[in-house]
This record gives sequence, C-alpha cells and structure tokens, in this order.
Amino acid sequence: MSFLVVIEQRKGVIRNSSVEVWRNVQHLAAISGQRDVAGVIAGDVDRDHIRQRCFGKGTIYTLRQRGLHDYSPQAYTESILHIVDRTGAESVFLANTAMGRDLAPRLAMRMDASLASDCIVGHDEAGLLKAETRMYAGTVSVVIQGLRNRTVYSMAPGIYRPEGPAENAVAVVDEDGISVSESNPVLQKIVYHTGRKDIAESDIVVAGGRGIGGSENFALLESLAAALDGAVGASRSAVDEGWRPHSDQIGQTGKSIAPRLYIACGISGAPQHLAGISGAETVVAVNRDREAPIFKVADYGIVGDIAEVLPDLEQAVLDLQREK
Amino acid sequence: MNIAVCINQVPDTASRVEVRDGAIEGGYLNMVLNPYDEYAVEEALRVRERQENTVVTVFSAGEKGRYDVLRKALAMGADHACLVEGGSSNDSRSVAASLSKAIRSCYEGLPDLVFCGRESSDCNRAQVPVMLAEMLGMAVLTAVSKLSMENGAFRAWREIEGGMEEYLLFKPSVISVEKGLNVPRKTNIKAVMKARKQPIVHLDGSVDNQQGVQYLDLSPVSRERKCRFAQTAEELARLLHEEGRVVGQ
Repeated sequence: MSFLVVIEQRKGVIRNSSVEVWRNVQHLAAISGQRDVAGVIAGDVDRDHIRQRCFGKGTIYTLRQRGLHDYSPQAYTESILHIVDRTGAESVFLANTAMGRDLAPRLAMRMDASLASDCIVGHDEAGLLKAETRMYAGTVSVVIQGLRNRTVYSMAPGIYRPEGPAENAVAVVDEDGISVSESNPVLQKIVYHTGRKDIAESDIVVAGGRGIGGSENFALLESLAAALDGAVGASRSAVDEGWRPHSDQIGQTGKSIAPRLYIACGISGAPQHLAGISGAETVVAVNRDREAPIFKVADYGIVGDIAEVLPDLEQAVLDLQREK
Repeated sequence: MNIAVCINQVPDTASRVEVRDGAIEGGYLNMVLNPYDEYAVEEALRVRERQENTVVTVFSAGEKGRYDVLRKALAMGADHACLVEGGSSNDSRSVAASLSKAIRSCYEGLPDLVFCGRESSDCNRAQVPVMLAEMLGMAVLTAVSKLSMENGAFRAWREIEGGMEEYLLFKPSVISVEKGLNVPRKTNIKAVMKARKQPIVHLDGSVDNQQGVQYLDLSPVSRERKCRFAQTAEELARLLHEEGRVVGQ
C-alpha cells in the first residue's frame, strides 16, 4: 500500500499547490495506517529546495532528464508511470492545476485507475480514503467511489489545510535512465506573464466585477493589491466586458482559488463565481448594493462605492503596516 | 479531412439545481449545449472553412433528450449528428468508451481531429477528452485557448497559472478547447428549421466493464457565512488586521 504525490515545479520552484497536496498526503498516510509516501518531481530542482518545501517522511524521486524541465504531456506521463511502477503506488495525488488537469486523466488511463477530479480527500473510520467533490457550480457535494483497483486524485486547492509535519526525513533520489519516446504534442515555449502575480498562488486576491464600473477602475484594485502584496482577479462579467483577460477570471468557467483573504469588489456573487472561491478563508465584500448576494457568503462587508472605499482601505492598511 | 466533435448537454446556468433524496431533481432543468462545446463546434466549422473536403460530425452520448443539442450543432453548420446510445452518461470513463466505440464505427480508421469542450459546465471534471484520446490511441492537448494551422500541423496555446504554453500538435489528435478560442456563431431561424429536418444517426455505444467511478451521497452545499458589516474602511482594515490578514501572514 503506498501513496505517490506528483509534485509540480515551474522554473525550478515547487508550487504552493503541490506543497499543500504533499502535506495532505503525509497527514492521510499517518492517520490511515502508516502507508509509505513517495513523491516525484520532473525537472531540475535543487535538493535543498525540495527538502525545505516538502517535510515529513518518504522518498522523493527527481527526474532530471532533458526534456522534462517543462511540462510535456507524453514525456511526463511516461516517466511518472515509471515511478508509479517502481513504488507500487495504488493512489496517486496531484494538485488540480493546469498541469494536473491535463496529466491526471493521462495517468489514470495508463494505470487503468479510477480518477477523482477536483476533490478533497479524507478518510473514513476504517482509515480508507474518501474523496468528495462538488458539482453544479459548487452547490452539490458528492462522494466519489473508485471502482478500479487504483485511483488518481486531482486535489482541489485550499479547502483542507493540515499543518505540515515538523519532521524532515525526506530522502531525495535522482532517478535517471528513463528514456522517453518522441512526443506529440511538442512543447515549443512557455511565455510567463511578467510583473503580475498569479491569482492561483497568491495568499491575497482582490477581484473586480461589473459593479466597479469600468476597466479604468481596476487601477484602484491594483493599488490595494500592491499594498497587500496580493494579486488582482476578475469576475466573469468583468472579463466578458473585456476589462481583464480570461486568465484573470475567477469562478466556474475560470480559476478556482484558495487565498487566505479574498476581497470581492463590485461582484454580485452569482453561484458560478462562488464556485471559484469556496477554498477562500476570509471573504470580504465591497458593494454599493446592500442586498447583493455576495454579502451572504462574506465574513466582512462594507456597503459603498469602490472609488471611495478602496483608497481609504488602502490607506488604512498602509497605516497599520507602518505601525507594525 | 474528417472532424468529429463530441458534445454534451448541461443545465443552463440560470437553473437552480435541487437535491432530493440523494439525487438531482432533474425534471424541470432546462438543458442546453455545454458552453465549452459551442467553442468546439465553432472551431471545427472554422477549420472546415479553411480546408476543402472537410466533414464535421457531432457525437453525443446519452438518451433521445439530446436531440436538441445535436440539432443546435447542426443549425450552427455541422454536417452530420450522431446520438450514441446504450452507455452511461454519468461516469466519464464510460462516456469516453461509448464515444470511442461510436467514432470507430463511423470512420475507416480514425478521424483527423476530434474537438471537445474543455469540460462540461455541470461537473467540471475535464476527463472525457483525454480518456477518449487514450482509447482511440490519438494524441491530445487540453484547454486550448488559441489555435492556428501550419503546414498540416497545429500551433496551439494553453493557459497555465501565470503564463501560456505553446505547442506544436500533429494529426490525428484530440483537442479540448477553452473559452476565448473563438466566438461561436449565432444560429438563425432558417438554419434551425433546416436542422429540424436533418436525420440524427443512432449509433451503438454500449460498453462493458468501463466504469471508473460512481457518485454517492449527493447533498446540497450551504455557502452562507455570517457577514459583519463595517461602517468605514478604517474599521474594516482593523477587523482584518485583528485576523492577521493585513500585516504578517
């Protein structure tokens, strides 16, 4: 019985979402009968960085071959399957990121495994894993029962955050000699957006909807986000208006995020939007309309115009930070 | 060139989904073509406009209630529509197996391209396109938000967190499409009337031992939180500060 975590790195840095999955799986292994945990990272990642990011027990295999530093669907699938075989893993875990969503079904099919997507994984009284997911814009929850011998879990961000293990007994093992066949599709290049924080990886996200009135008003959100060291996102209406690119969209047809603080500005709170923020810890709503549904799902609210509220909030934040 | 497009039906986004006795109360849901599949149909039609002798066939796995979404695709301009019967419509792996069987029965060999939506907007699992590709033995790229043809191959872009990946993709392949790829055409009354008269081909999609998962214990989710209203921005900042949300995470 063993667990394998596929750990994602971009530019040599292990993503927060993968650290979260690793912690979850360490936790599950500890409470569900001391199963072995292994990890696999494709790409050239510094050993110390791995040991700093992934605490606990187990072996993490690194695949440093050429052609594996950036995500390549076929090469990743084949080389990770090699580690699945080597570790005898029955359960494979990934974060439900752009890479995870592409890779998880490929692995599941090659392993003839069940696939649980965008799920939270816990355990029942007997210590068996129990996966749950949501449907219909997050309004219905269901338990996923795997019917095949093995299962691949692609895990939703942020909903469940155990403390990481304190112990650091992870062994890092270079696994080379895996040959990868020619691939289709072939990655040509990756263009990273510069100077913009990624909403999926930020602890604080400030987002705007149609209610902010125009694309120019995103400057107010940018400014507040800069003060908080957060990222700026948008609702579907703001994206449909052309005020922001689709990559900024939060919600059912955009990204699911799990920041510690989410500030919704001029967002009414349609179920499709809420589907993308169910992992958020503290939700703040700023809206002119006191009856807006967003207030029903917020921890804190303020009724007012963003042109007045946001600059004041930013100033108050800066003052508090200065006091520190 | 042969292009297959796989489409699904979903409750329209205005539908309120209710759970009763552990099941979805489906009777009064208004079912529509999955929005992501509209981009898939549109992209297939655009490829046909640029490539002579291209035939676009849409497939949907499920019951006869799917005639409406198949006809919608015909009204948009698809050449043929097939209803794939006899499989399960809930489990992705079973659906992929039914579609794979139907697609194989339809073509000598494989189609050059299969377009799918990135995911269905009801369950958001994004599983069928990759499963189908694996079953058909075709290459696959998911969540493509920009696509161009280049000497018989495709240049495809996909959004990742904080950036874009650019790929070269060779036929035959499955492409799942993301919002932003195109703006689907509107259908006009004449096209809708014509689509009504077009035949829907019935194909056998019955499969054995393909079920991957089953879904149990459906229950409604409450998202309500208790909102504390602040009168001023300063008060709000102070409340957040007390929660450790403003300085020092």
